Amino acid sequence: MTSSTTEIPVHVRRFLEENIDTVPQLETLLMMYEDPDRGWENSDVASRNYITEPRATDTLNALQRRGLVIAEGTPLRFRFNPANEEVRALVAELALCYQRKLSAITQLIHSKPSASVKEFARAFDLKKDR
Amino acid sequence: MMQFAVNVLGTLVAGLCAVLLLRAFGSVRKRLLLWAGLCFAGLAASNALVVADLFVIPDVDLYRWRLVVAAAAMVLLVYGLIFESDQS
Amino acid sequence: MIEGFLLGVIVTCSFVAAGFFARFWLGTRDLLFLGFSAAFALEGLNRIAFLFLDKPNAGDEVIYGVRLVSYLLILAAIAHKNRTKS
Repeated sequence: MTSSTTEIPVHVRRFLEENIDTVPQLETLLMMYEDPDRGWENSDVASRNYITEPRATDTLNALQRRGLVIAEGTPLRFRFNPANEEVRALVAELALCYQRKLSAITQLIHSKPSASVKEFARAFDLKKDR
Repeated sequence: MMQFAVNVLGTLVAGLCAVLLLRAFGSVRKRLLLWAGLCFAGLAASNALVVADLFVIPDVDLYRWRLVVAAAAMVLLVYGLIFESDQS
Repeated sequence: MIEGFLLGVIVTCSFVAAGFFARFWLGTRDLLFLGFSAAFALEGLNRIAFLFLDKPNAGDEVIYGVRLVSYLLILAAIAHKNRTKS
């Protein structure tokens, strides 16, 4: 059994480590990427991903802070909106990767310390308003 | 002089950490950040008490209070680390 | 007596915190955590020295020097986090 995390390209790995803390965050992002013109409500995300609404809110807010989705309108709807083309390309590649190497990617996500620990580190990152 | 400088620096560094963590807790709401932020606020207070003890009110001994505040702050941090650091 | 107990609490908690931060560093490779771990470990060791002083107000130079280093470690860790390109 080869170490499956080495199959993931380095830049995809890096993108994952910096932007995705949990599997719901990943699946929400990819779900929204596949339907970029659609505005998703909190409840849509919750039911599609089988998570609670508070968790969905948490997830969407995290993605918004990282410049991956944008929130607009009332009632609040979220739309896939990468900060730039480079990010868009990375998400596209991530989507492909996830199709082919699902277990490697989920394994990578679960092998990293929790979202709380990552948010601790992000608290000290003054460069971006994350 | 050195004590004064070091403790002022300590107050500022701990204060900075407290501000960053509590500010982040405001938007992210991960409880680890709250406990850690409060810890650093306590450590900042403890350092400030040292300065007060030595230079502002030298006739009153604040040593025990300095320790109480620092100990309480560290307990908060350890509590947060044990119970909240695996929170995703 | 009480002061000794409080110092014990502080020292133990410092080492426990240092341990957690060391684990976080190993898991994330983020040097920020290494800085915090080292700072807390250093302060823990430093506080042990307090046990050998009656009332650490006279200001043992070494103790304050070590404390200074631990604060600088934290500042360095934060600075490093903000210097590197994400």
